[in-house]
Amino acid sequence: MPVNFLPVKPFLRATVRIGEKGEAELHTPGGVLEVEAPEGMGQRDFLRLLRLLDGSRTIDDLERETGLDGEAVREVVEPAVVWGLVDDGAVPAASSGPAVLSRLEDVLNRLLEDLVFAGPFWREVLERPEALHRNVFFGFGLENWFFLFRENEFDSAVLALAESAELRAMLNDFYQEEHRHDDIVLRAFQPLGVTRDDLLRARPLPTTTALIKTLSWWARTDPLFFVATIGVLEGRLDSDSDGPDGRIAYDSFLAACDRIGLDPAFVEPMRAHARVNAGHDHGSVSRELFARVPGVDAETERRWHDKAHLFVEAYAAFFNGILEHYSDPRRPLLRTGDL
Amino acid sequence: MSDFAGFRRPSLRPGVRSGPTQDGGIEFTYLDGRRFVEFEFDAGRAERFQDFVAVLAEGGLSAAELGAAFPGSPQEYGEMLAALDEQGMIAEAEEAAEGGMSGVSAYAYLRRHADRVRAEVRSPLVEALVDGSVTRGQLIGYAVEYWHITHLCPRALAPALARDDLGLPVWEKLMHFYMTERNHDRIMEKSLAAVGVPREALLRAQPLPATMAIMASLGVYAYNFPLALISTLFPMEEPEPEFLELFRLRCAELGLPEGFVRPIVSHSDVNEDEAHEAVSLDLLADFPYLSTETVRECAKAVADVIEQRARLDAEVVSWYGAGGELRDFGHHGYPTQAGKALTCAPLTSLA
Repeated sequence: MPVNFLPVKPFLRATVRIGEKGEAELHTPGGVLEVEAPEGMGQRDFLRLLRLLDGSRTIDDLERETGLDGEAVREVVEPAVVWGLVDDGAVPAASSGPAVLSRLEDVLNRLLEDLVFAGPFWREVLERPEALHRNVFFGFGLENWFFLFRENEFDSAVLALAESAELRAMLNDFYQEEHRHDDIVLRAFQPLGVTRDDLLRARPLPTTTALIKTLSWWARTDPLFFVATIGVLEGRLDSDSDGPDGRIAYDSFLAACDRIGLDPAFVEPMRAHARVNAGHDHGSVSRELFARVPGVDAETERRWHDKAHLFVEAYAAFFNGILEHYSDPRRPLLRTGDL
Repeated sequence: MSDFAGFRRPSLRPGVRSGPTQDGGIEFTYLDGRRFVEFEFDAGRAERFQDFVAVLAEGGLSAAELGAAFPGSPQEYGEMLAALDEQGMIAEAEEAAEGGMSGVSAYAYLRRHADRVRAEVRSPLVEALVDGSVTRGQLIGYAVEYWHITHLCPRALAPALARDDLGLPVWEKLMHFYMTERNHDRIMEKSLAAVGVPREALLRAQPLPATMAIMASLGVYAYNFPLALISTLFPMEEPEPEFLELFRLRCAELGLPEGFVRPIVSHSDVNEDEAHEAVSLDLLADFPYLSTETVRECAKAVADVIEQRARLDAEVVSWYGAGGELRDFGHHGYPTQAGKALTCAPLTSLA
């Protein structure tokens, strides 16, 4: 088996002593191990090497200080690592959770600008809401309902997160706070004549399913990356935008609804949901969770930056899919089968 | 709006530009100017605000120090940082991870921890092998449970292959390990066929509770905590030459055929040849950082699997020693006496 397990700075977790017959002994809390120098290595060199394994020297340092070649040093260190007698004295290479999330936010921010806000859905909603068919607004509500209805599929997958008791508890709190949010939005569809039963028969757009399933997969296979996406999913776009009556609209979509005078019976339940999320400060969930992530290695961070692109692509397609489908008033609001 | 209490060292995000406005304020721009925010100051305070922005950009102060360095009221401080953060312009500058250790150090700790736990458990099966009280039924029962482990092994490992947070080298090694563990139940079937237990009967049989607990643990770790799965491979796969020698001796004494013993020994040799006990170290060494809590949870998993294995040894002795046979409950009635023996002495293995 190729050896990949040499510590950067080997630290022998045993006291080196010399036995009655001059043999080298390793004293550990579990007992005494008698050890022999490898073939070709003198006892003095062997003992000196063992005593230098104090967690402050690299393998190169050890070679230099003992005059032994690297192979000889490894011949001593490797078996001791396999026995569990050697720790690494070097500080492990990792960044703090919040620093890693901050850098990921930078990648996400740029992608959100490039793909989401510059995409057709948000451009139209923000710049020319009057020109849009009303079904686009209703469709946004419906596809959001599908997302909320299935949110348990991804949120539940991180409820048993094993590595951190505190994160696990916070994720369970978040799950509870999100539970039945689909019911808040449901009331918005009354003026459309759409009931809960109708919704249960209907299926979301493929772009909505794509986002839901991708998140559900990440929640199961890369839970911390999923946790990092919550801040975007729960974040409000332009949260300070004012409605026509001077009240806080809660997000850009609601501001646009207000601007075109959409039926309050549709708009207000949507606003109620935005208000609940704002009350729980759900836009900060990723940050609050990552504040409890002690460290992340560089390779994991690199992988998350790559995946962030896929995530924002799916997120942008979720919005743009709504515009594409619901712009055509000949298409039904709900897509249902016969059963 | 973000929770600034969560920031250790708030700083201006690298890439955010700031500059004076015509009326003595400061303008911040980010993402090629697509995000921007502007602040105006009273003429007398402008310079101090410019100094503050330089400090914020540097990211050298803790959250508390930064708040204290702000040349205005706490409310103004909160509003200014919130406005910047709204545009994504605030970042965490504290780079250092908390505590934790490398995978190599974690392995060393787990190994030492395992030694401590081993000193606390006893194996009624090994004791029966040593004092010669072991029965033919218990030896065959041991092989049946061993079959269950090899039979369930691919299912227990497979969920880890779906994970995408372990890095490619670890995934490739887990895939290789999975491949090498496949069909090991066939080796054990040869052994059991030699004493009249066919595969069909084994497929109908339930494992002992401890066998189930071990394989369920590994399987759940594979789904939900792959690092614990990786950590428990060494106590599961370590060669036990002394046990095997005794096993061989007692089988011979009790007239069990060579066809029963040989596959068991050869399976153990396969594991040894493939250095299965080194798999934990080889995999853990690919993790540059593991948090202290993660390693602590892995250590619990290692200790538990050692205790479960001792419990399994106790169950083999109690079930198969109290008249319990192959646990095919659909075809045979349930031997209540054996069931009682099994469930009344579940912790006899803890010293």
